[in-house]
Amino acid sequence: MLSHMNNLVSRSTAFLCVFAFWCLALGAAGADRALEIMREVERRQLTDSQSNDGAIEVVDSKGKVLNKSWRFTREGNRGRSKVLIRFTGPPEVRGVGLLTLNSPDKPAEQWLYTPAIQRDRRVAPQEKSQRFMGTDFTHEDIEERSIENYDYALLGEENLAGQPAHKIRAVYKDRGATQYSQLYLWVRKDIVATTHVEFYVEGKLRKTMRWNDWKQIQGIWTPHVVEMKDLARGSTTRIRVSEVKYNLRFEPDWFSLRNLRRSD
Amino acid sequence: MILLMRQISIPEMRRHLLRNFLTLLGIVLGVAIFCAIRSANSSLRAALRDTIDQIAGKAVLQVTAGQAGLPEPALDAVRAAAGVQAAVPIIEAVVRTTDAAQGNILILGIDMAGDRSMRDYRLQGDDEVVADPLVFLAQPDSLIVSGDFASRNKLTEGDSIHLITALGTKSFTVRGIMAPRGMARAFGGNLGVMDIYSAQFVFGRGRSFDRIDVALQEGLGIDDAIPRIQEKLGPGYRIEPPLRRGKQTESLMEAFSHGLFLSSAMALLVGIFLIFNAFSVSVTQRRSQIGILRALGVTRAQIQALFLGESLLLGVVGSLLGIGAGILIGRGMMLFMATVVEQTYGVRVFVDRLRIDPFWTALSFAAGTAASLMGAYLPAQAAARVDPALALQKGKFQILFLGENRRRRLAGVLILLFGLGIGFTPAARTLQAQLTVFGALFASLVLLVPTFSHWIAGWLRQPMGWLFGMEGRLATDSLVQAPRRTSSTVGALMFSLSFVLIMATFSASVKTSMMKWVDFAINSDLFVAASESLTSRNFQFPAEMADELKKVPGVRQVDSLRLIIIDYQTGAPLLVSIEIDQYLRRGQPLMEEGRVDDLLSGMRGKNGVLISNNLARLHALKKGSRMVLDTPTGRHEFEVVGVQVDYSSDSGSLLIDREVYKKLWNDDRVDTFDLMVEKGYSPDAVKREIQRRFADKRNVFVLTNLDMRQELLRVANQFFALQYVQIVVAVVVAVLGIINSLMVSITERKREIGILRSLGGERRQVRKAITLEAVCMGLVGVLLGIVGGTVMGYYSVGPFGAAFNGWVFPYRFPLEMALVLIPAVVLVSWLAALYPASLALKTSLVDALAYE
Repeated sequence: MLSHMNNLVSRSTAFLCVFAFWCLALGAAGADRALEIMREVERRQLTDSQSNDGAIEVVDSKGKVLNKSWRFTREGNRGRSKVLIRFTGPPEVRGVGLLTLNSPDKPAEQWLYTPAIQRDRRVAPQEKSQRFMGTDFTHEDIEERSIENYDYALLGEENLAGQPAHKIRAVYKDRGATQYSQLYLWVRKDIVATTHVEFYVEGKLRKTMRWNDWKQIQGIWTPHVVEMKDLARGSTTRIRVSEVKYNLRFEPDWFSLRNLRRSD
Repeated sequence: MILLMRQISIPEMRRHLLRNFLTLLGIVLGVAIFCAIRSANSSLRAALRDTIDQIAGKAVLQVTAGQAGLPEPALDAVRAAAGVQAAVPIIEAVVRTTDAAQGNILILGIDMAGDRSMRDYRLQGDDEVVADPLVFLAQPDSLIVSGDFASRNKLTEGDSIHLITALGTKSFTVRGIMAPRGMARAFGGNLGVMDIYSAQFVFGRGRSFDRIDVALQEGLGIDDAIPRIQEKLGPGYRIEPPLRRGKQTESLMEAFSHGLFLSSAMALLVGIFLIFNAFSVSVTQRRSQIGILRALGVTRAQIQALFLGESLLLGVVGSLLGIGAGILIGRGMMLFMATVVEQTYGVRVFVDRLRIDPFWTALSFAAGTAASLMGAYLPAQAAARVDPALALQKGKFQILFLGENRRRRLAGVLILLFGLGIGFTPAARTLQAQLTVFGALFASLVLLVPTFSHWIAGWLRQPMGWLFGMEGRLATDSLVQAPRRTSSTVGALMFSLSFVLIMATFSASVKTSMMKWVDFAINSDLFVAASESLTSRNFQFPAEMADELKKVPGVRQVDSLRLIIIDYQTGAPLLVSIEIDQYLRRGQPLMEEGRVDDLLSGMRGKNGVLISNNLARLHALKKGSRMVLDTPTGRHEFEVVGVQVDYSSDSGSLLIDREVYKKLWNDDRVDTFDLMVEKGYSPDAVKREIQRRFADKRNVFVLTNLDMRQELLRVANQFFALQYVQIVVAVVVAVLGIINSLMVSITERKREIGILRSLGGERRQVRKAITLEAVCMGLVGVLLGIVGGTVMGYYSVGPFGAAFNGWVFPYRFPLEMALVLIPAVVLVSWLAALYPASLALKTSLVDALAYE
């Protein structure tokens, strides 16, 4: 009897160990797979430079609408990019420029130029959870972050707006440097592009972001509408882009303070 | 004791209600003035501290570089200091709105794209500052206002508000409203927030900030942080906690506060004298009663306590009433003082309510009560010393007085010599020594009053006889024969009127000197100012504007004047910079030391300064002295090349060449352009042309020479208005003293009047004699008051003034005041005598003869 029992225990233990190892392997494989998917998403979006015309619409909970339009230019990628946004409308903000110089190992440097008083000023690093220029995007949302800095988990497949998509959970490794407890991303399988993100704060759904109106520009699938909804505030920010161009050449001093100060 | 008070004091006080009322009024007035001035002063200071505290937010240190402002690179230097968590630049300006009902508004220029951890300016019902930050930053007319201001003026987001700026009247758009907490409560809620670079633009700050607020990393103390930040900045910068910065502004008002304190103390001193007089007469009047009490076994101590108890009662009641009256007039006084401080020192303090400081209230009560006790102390002591037997012999009392008079005369002379002696000691220049001399002069005059009044009364006998016959001689004889009564009344008069003369002398001497100085110093044809007020220089012009002014037809010379207040030792003198060669071309300073010929070579392009006479006295400087000043470019040494007569600032002034100032202070802004006009051109026409040319560009205030003189006179009158208020107070107290004393003395003489009538004197004749005696007392009092006031007045504008603020003014006798005082006092004396004389005459002969 005893030997029978011993046999049973040994076999169960072995089975459990194998099962646990298989689960871990599966999980690791899932995480690897998710990271692989994200890397592919990034690879397909990677360009040396970009320009577009953008229009942003912010609708608050009372229905009040604020509109802006701009000319966007970027050079570089992967946390080393330089960005110059020149606002083209409404008249109150025409000519205002925002220059951002990103670095992978330190906070981005930003300058703002206001033509009405012909002054540029340094924009201090702001609180990550603070809204950027009155939109539903926070400063963390617009930061260039390496995809390697997240822990991923592949959660399976779902249909999103009739399109099959991978569902991935992402958690920023440095928990002190993020306001979000986790993100859920939906990556379309056909174009390998993130089309939907849910942002969670302390486990509760706080914001959602969607990319729509996908078109191929120079062989790159490009969303022409981005919509961020802040569920707690009841507000929505919608960005439409047009005239998208990739891999252009800019003048050497395009992303400089001297150019920032030119308002025309 | 209580039994004695109930049986003796209370009935006695009821019997002489009018006299006690007038005495009480003296205490009430003295305490009211003291309480009102102290409360108003405390309220001003508290309001100033509150504003600084509320605006400071979480800043633990503030970096300033005086009124020249901080150059922008200083911000990077502060941020680079180890331990600094956040450093944010600030601009502060108090501006007028075009709507008088809205009042002034304190505008804070804050870097809206900078670190927001320093301040709490939450939007009402929202967690963001403004709905559209980009528009707020892009448009220099963007303004956030406090909820209080918005609700008072019915403003909502999107509404316009018009402010008077360096660029003229500009419309600003309300793009956010702060919740009424934290910073939004500063300046009485009249607060607005702008982006700092927009504020630089509209307030003409160039490329500088007013200060930098600093928050430190956790664990780092202020004492450790200051040297770290100082090392990055270098000398010429002040780094201190916010409230200590407020102390600089308070020290600017120090001389003003001291002056007010002296005035309020004088009011109390006059009150003391009124009490002294009233109780002296009371003791004289009640000596029979005292004799009887002593004969019945009441001790000397009890007699003294009885009189002191009466004075204490008067003091307590008078002080309480005085505090009430002080609170009533305190608010008006506070608003008035705030205006004077702004006009004189350029410091705007928002005060809307009088803060009743328990300390000053208690002190006012204590001062009034103590004054009452002090005034009654000597008479109470005299009452205690009354011999019961002699007390019933009236004549003896008066004769005994003569011996006492010798002791007083001796004491008076000794104190006078002591006071004069201090003037020759090395410590004579200090304020404490001068206060002692002042006090000694005063005390000696008080002690010598009986002697002087006795002499003058004697001299008046013949002229009064010539003018008024027998009644005149009777009048003066009464004065001579009743020296105790006479000296009390005359003393009170002299005291009050001396105070009036001192204030009038100060006012007349200062004004005369200042007007003479203005004649010399204001020698330009036109003045183009950036701020409406000469003292609160909110706005400045850019240096380039000089070139635009030179192009105006008729303009021959343009001098650029910049005035800032700097720190020097314990003072806050005014630093004036101007093109020294041009300045000397149009006029020569009034030199006290040094030669005008040496000024150009010593100052142009060099670290040479021309200092004011009061600065020289306050800091023991002279030609050749070295002064070390901290500037934004470091610590620099300057040589005093001369001392001039100058009344620009009661803390002193220094004149420096503009090129040196620009180089060392990194500041090329201009407060005022002084213009000389070509021959053949009318200054008024040039003024109009300037106004026309700049109408759409910026706010300019163009004054002709005459306009400037009138403006200076207005500012001076504003300052002297407070002196005039004090003169009025002194006159009122003097009149009270006259009425009180004469009523007491005439009432006291009921028996004598009865004797006169029983000897055949007609009512008409007796009334004439009594009123003439009152007139003589008034005349003696006013003559002594003029003598005392002249001596003290001379002293106050001379050695005392020199120790107080460094200025020595040529003495000017206030002839107008003296000429008004003599007939006024004579008239008041005559009027004051009429009613009690009638009362005394109405008493039947039997009652009058029986009067004790």
